[in-house]
Amino acid sequence: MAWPALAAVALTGCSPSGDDQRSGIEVSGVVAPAPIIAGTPGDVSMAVYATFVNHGPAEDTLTDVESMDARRASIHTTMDHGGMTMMMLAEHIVLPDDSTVRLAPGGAHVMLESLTRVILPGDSVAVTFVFRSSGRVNAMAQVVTYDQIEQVLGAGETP
Amino acid sequence: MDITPVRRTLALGAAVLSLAACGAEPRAEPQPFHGVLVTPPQGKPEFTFTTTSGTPYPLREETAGKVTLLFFGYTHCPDVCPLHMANIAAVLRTLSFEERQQIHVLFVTTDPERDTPERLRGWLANFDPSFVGLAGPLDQVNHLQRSIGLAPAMQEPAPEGSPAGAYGVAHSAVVLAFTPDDSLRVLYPFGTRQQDWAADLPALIRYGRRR
Repeated sequence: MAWPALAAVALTGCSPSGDDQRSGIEVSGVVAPAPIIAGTPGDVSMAVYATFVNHGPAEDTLTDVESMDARRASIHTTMDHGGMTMMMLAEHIVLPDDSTVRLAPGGAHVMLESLTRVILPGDSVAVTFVFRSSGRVNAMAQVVTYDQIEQVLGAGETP
Repeated sequence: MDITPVRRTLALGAAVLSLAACGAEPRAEPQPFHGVLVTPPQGKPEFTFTTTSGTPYPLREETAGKVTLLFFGYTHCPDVCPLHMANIAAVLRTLSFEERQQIHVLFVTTDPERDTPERLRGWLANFDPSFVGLAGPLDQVNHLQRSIGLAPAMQEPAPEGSPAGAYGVAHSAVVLAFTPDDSLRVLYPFGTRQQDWAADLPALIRYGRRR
């Protein structure tokens, strides 16, 4: 099985680079399940998951997301109300000082809508995370199949 | 379409029960499944929806004596629906041919507006070609869900700036598992892992054989 290698690629591919190193925010584990129906890119959406570590020294906030591979990128959260799952737009995600925040299935995720190209397992997708204090962090999301998600994200991260 | 409501007591406690299933509370007694036990078990509802081939699918008749996994979702769903389907499909591939023949997986769309038979068929086939896609008028699908104790699906308005035709559908996140005695016996909340399915699918098959 290639899980450890896959996870390592995702971590390496998503580390902050250049000026982003000074941000205090470490981005890792950026993965995206490949759309089930890959055709007709303009009609296809995909979720992206990631892990943020805020090394401090202060609270920061994820305020926006961007992707050259989608016409629209936004932060969504999945809410559970009485057994009902509802997806809602989230304006921002607060990252407390010295904390780890995960975007994971069943919780918050980046939603890429109207993909501009066909995206398949094994591809990479460009995602830029915009933080209020730390600025922009560029990452490449490793595209995997849905049945790989729980293994890539690791035990305990899928609710 | 024919739907016969069956008296239910599951109600909306599924969310609370799912916490226990995820290990938040220690269990006094070992239980045979990783999902949430339905106590007492419920009968299999009687309904007939339409397959992606256009043929009627009377649930009780088609699935009699088989383990039946029933899920309500939609193909534009970003994570809950495809993750459930992908995890189940991955585990089914590890079962023996004999075991595999004892399990039916049914996906009832809560978004008949966008889930055309062609789209639903193509979406499900990416997980497992044997998965059965079913569609019916949304009011009847919701009636069925209410009769089982699940909240009805609701269309959510798309966030401002979304592409035309984009919207979400609020829906139940549990997979309903019927044992071969045609009883609804276990609920599997979102977050059920492949290792849970790997342990439980053979157990669900055996459960019927013991009775």
